[in-house]
Amino acid sequence: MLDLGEPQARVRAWREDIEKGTLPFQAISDPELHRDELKRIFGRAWQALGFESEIGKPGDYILRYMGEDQVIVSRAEDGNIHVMLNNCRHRGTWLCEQEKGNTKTFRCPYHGWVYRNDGSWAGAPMRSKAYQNLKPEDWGLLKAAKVETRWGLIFATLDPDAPSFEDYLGDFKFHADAFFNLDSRGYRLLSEPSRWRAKSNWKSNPENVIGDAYHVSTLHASAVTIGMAPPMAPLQEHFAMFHGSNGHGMITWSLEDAGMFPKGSHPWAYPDHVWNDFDKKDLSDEQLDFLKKYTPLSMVIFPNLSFARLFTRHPETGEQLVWSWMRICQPNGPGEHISWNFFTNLNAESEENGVHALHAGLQWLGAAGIGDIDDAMTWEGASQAANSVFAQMRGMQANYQMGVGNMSAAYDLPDWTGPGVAKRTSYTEDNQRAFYAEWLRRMDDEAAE
Amino acid sequence: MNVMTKSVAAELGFQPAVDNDVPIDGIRQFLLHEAELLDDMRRLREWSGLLTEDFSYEVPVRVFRTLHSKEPSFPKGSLAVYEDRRSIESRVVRLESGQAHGEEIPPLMRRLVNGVRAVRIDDQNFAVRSAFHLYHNRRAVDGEIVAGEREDIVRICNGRYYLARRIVLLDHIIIPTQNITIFF
Repeated sequence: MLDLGEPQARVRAWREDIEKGTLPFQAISDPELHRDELKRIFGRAWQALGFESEIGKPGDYILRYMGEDQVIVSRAEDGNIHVMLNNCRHRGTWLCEQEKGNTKTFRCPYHGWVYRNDGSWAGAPMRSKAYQNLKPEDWGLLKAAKVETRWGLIFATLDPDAPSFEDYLGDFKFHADAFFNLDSRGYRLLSEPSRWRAKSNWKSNPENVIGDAYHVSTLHASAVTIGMAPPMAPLQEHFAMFHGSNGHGMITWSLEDAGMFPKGSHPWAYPDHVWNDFDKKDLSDEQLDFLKKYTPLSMVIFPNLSFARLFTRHPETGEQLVWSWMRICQPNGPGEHISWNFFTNLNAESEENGVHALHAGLQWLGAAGIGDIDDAMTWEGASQAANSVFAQMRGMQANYQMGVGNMSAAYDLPDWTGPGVAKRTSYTEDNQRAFYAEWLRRMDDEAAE
Repeated sequence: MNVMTKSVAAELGFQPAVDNDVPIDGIRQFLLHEAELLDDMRRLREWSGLLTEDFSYEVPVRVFRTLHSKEPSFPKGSLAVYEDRRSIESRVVRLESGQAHGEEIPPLMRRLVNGVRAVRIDDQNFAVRSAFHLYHNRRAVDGEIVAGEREDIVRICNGRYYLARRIVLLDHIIIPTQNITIFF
């Protein structure tokens, strides 16, 4: 077998490669690296688990994943959220096999160990004979190190040394908060999440969402043909890419400049009566200005959380109808991931609008979405190339050169005084490089905190 | 023969519904014809000609529940797929454009439709249930089987059969095919 070098040495070399715009395919889905990736990325980063509204009442719970591990996400009697590994501490039996429900306790079917919905050990059958000296505080369910909520979403990390979620956002907090904080009444989840299975490493998915506007005119040309997307060529100059220092990033487009929205439109061209009704108390003037000039199209919070916000017309009134989408890419082995899809509109908007928003979103995204259908097909090859002996013998690299040096017609966004890095035009893979730079930093033993 | 069959059935507590008012054979043939069209993606436009103007297509999201749960497996309003007559027309145009990359490599498909039962709703409309296995194979040696049930409304106008509504209840919580570029 080829000597590919000790894994850490490889990762360190790749950190230099990505700066220059290349990355070996092995970084994308090498089976040897996958265990490392699960520990170093998913064992440490903040991960989204779902919406607070999914567990609105005490006792409510959902089953979700951190990395590849299933966890119970529950709302305890005191209203706090707990994230717990779904394995009994006795023999590892799955405690909970129903994906969603309400309970005060979880009882293991094997020997009857009972836990409260905050994970604490609550008893066992004939305890006074069976477990005279068992210390309950040692045998509660394994808990995530930290749990926080932001934007109506639940986040958790397994790393007790992780910074707060706000610090984790770092210099991208400005952009992410701007995306979410349109109205203080928050978001309405329009449907239970749908799931499908894609034959590619999880990273292919967010690396597309974080910065790939360039592929739309080719891969999604059919969307233009059927009137679901505008002609893309004239729009390339009007994209602006933003990213922070921790792997988060977003694609924005200046749709007024591009002539798609009339001058003076609200962000996403929300109708007057909707936009004016929003309680924008959590948006600064700078953020409002940002949204008007650089309307977010899609965004990734590292590592595996994606968002998009797009629009259609109400089928009867013809009014602008905005819909939002969120995805969690659950890794499932080195060459596969499970895609969880959530659609939302704002609580301030009508439920009726929500039905149309869901229908519109499902046209683009989800198992039957025309965007996802085409995207997922193109990602398959990358994961297969990662294992290719031919590719490894030749040291085959993926090309991330767009926007490096003089390669492309992309430049620093003029007059940008806000946080993070900002580039004009879609002719750059700056955000994708930033995503992998963070991934590689975390994979590097010596660099990661 | 009939007397024997009837008494055995009565002992077992099942009375088959024999409704001479429901053209069950016609409905069955319609579903088989429709499945044949769907098996060949090149015939999607032909299939769309079987749909009524008010046609809607839904694949609700399944939430896995335990045996004694009182909660619904298909919560109201939760959808993995929603299509109507217009969006289907868009999909057909998209396929015909040659630009649908994900669908230019069409899956090999074979639908087996079975368990057809129907009840009359009114003059023209029938509520029809059927079970299906869809064998689906894109490029691979082994394909996937997607299983589920359809709750349809079949409408008969002037002797011609149309599909007025389909709700697909899948026997999966994670859709196993990479995408659903197809109709169940």
